[in-house]
Amino acid sequence: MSTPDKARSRPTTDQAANHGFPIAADDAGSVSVGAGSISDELQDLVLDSPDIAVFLKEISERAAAVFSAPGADIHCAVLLVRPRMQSTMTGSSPEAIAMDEIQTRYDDGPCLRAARYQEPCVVEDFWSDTRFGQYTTSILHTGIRSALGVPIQLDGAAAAALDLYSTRPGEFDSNSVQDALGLAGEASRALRTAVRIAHFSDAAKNLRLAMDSRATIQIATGIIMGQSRCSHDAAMTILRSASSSRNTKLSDIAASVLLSIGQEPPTAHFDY
Amino acid sequence: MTARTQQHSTWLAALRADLSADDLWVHYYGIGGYLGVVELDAYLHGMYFLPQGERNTVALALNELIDDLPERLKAEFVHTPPLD
Repeated sequence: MSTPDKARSRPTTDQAANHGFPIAADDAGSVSVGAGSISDELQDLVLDSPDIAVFLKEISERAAAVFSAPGADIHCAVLLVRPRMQSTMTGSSPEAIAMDEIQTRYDDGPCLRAARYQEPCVVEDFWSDTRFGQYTTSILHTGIRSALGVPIQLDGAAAAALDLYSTRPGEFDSNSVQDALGLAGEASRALRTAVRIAHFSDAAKNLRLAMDSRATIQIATGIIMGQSRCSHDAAMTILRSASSSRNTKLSDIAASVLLSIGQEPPTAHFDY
Repeated sequence: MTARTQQHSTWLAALRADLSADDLWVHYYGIGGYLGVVELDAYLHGMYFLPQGERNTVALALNELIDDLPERLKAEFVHTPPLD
């Protein structure tokens, strides 16, 4: 852990009052994260990352580098939970991702709690911690002894957390919490931008998929109408009941109808 | 199942999954639905009558979306040879 200096210990008290959010760019230098404007770097990262998972991975790698300490393995993961979507987990190492997956499996853990309750969650030593039930047993099997989860503030119902894991007990003290909160505060703005971009690009992707699948389904009904000399409604009924009884998506059934007569499903063409 | 009970079950499933008519509409349109989002919303709330075919399209669209939602907690399945 880097040595605390005067510049950092001063805003520490201010941060504690409001969970460290938001941290102005001027205060950024006080966080022991390194030189330069991290906000600017993170904004660049948003622009350079092809999707949100890549961006989160960059953040986790950065955090792992900041918190690396001799004599212990420190893993860093970033967890992003958005409503009605699979949660996104990335990490500085495969171990970090595996540890976040364990949390998702048990639906509990320091980082999920940090994301949900929007406050830091420190585990001094998993051997003596009793808060997490079965999750603790699973995490001990991976050799992890202590953990720290800090929330990354986001808009609306989305929540994110920066998670640090160490193989050494008692790795994360109040200074680490402040450092992590500082980093999370820096990441917050960039991540909000990234989440917003992801929201719109997902919406555009869904619309494109809808156009494609609608065209495929209309052609498939046409094929069925021709083959069984039935009405459009009857053809749709055949497709729907096939989809429902086989638990296969309607668009997949329709695509297989097209493939059965040797035709590729069409794709809509848009300039974007 | 009557028109009314089917509509109600659809509404209940959408409510449980926290999916609004807006969330549902793109996918519903994608699988060949004919309604606009306002009519779809009205149907979900029991204020717009639909024939069975269209009711099934709504149900199918909703079920496909629910299948894609984050998984619920599951029991652990062990692949290693038995230890006991």
